[in-house]
Amino acid sequence: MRRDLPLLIGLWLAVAISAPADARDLVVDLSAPVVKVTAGFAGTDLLLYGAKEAKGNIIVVIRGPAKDQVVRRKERIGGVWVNRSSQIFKAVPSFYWVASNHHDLGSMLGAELRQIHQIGVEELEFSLDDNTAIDPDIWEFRDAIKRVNQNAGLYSTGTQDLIFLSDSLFKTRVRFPANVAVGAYGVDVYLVRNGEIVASETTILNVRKFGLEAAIFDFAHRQSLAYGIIAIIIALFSGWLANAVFRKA
Amino acid sequence: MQIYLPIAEVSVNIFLILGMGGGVGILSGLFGVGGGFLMTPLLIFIGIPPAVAVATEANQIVASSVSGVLAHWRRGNVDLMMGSVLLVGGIIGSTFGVWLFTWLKDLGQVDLVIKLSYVVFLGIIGGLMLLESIRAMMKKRAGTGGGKIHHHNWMHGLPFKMRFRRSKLYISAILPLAVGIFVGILSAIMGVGGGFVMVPAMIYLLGMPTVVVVGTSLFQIIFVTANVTMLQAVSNQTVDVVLAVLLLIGGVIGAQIGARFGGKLQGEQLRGLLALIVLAVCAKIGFDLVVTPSEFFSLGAAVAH
Repeated sequence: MRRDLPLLIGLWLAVAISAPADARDLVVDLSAPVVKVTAGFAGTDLLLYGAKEAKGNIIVVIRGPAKDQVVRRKERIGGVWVNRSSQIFKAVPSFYWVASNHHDLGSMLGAELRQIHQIGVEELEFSLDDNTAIDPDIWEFRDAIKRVNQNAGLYSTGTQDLIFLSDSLFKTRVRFPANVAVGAYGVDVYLVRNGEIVASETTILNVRKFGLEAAIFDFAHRQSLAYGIIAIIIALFSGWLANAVFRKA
Repeated sequence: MQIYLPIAEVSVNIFLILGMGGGVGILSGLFGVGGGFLMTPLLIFIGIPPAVAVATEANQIVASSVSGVLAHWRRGNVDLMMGSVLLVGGIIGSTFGVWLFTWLKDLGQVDLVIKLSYVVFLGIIGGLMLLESIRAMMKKRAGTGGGKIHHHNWMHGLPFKMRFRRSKLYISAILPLAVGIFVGILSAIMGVGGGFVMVPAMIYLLGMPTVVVVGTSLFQIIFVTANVTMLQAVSNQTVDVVLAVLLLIGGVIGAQIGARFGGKLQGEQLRGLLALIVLAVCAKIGFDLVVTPSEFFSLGAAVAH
């Protein structure tokens, strides 16, 4: 979060300078502020709605909680495929999704701005962990993060559709697969005109475990000793029960 | 119907899990084996993270072993003394095994070690079982009964001799202790009870009478897999109770069906069939290790330094 602070201040300044002080050029909302991961969770769709007051194109970027990731490459040793070289990257977003009414991001924003704001999967940069020796093929590892996440549905492939319902009203549908990470997701909406970001709006989306699933997960992590004991007791009891039931039958 | 597993953090079809539990349960009832060596690879095939598959399967084996041991206990077919010595070894081995597992996980090599262990052990056990059952079938056709051979070799010169009354043995405690340690390590790394290694070791290495072998093996498997469950829960948080309960329900029902069918088949044919299944699983895992993968890269959570 702290890393994003300069970015946020920059965005705020950009909005403050370019827009009249009173008008909100951009309003966004989600069909649900929280994605609930419950027992029946198999991924979900969310709708993002918004309205803009000024002219321009809209770009929406959603980023999942960042985690340090190790990327491993398999090599063939004695006929068997084995994890050999690895690279550790810092603060890799666990989810990355970009949508716009205009599919060619490059035609709306210059490379520099896209890079600064990390808009578009192609622009995503992952920095190496300080203790990792740089592999000569580091770009292959970087590309692998994008490719593997795209295949898992966690990073969007290309720019997703965003539809204008009227001149000002727009909506887009976001797909969260079953394996999304829990945590706070940043939703950034940019209003873009003449190659500049003229307004932006940020909201937070929470992905949380709910109900029994959440209780079990928390219990397993907070009181793992008690959890282990209970898991064993359940097993002992069901083993005894099974024997008792079927002996009578 | 999909269900989201809280620890594995994946969504799976509830009927697929129940069906797998049932299918492996039938086989285990049919052949009198725990079925961990089939279930763990199956769980990995359907996308459960290997670390969760191994730990959760250990939890399930606790239940199936309890259910199995009670019948043997009532008939007095559990050698408590032998079971305890094996158990001491098993606790040492499985504790070391979980530590080894955690270390390999951090190195990124745990999947490979799990799979290689499966190929090696399933290959050896399956091959031996197949040879044995073919030999038995041929002997039966020839009409000669196999006599029991009592070995007398270097193993009987080892110190710390103990009397195991129910097994009618007077042997060094080092032997069952070593067997226990070895099987304990396998149990932790492969997510199995280890009966498929333990039973032959008890018969051929320790020379225990067949009648007490299964009960004693199940007896000590309960405690060793409970130890694995506990250690995995504490050090890796990889025991998924929801998954374990689902597997259990399917497994218990399947085992009863299997046990009923089992009486109708002949011993040698059963063993031959089991050997073929074991070899098929071995071949599938081995094939996956050597075939060129579609993706050379994999992602994992980085370990904090």
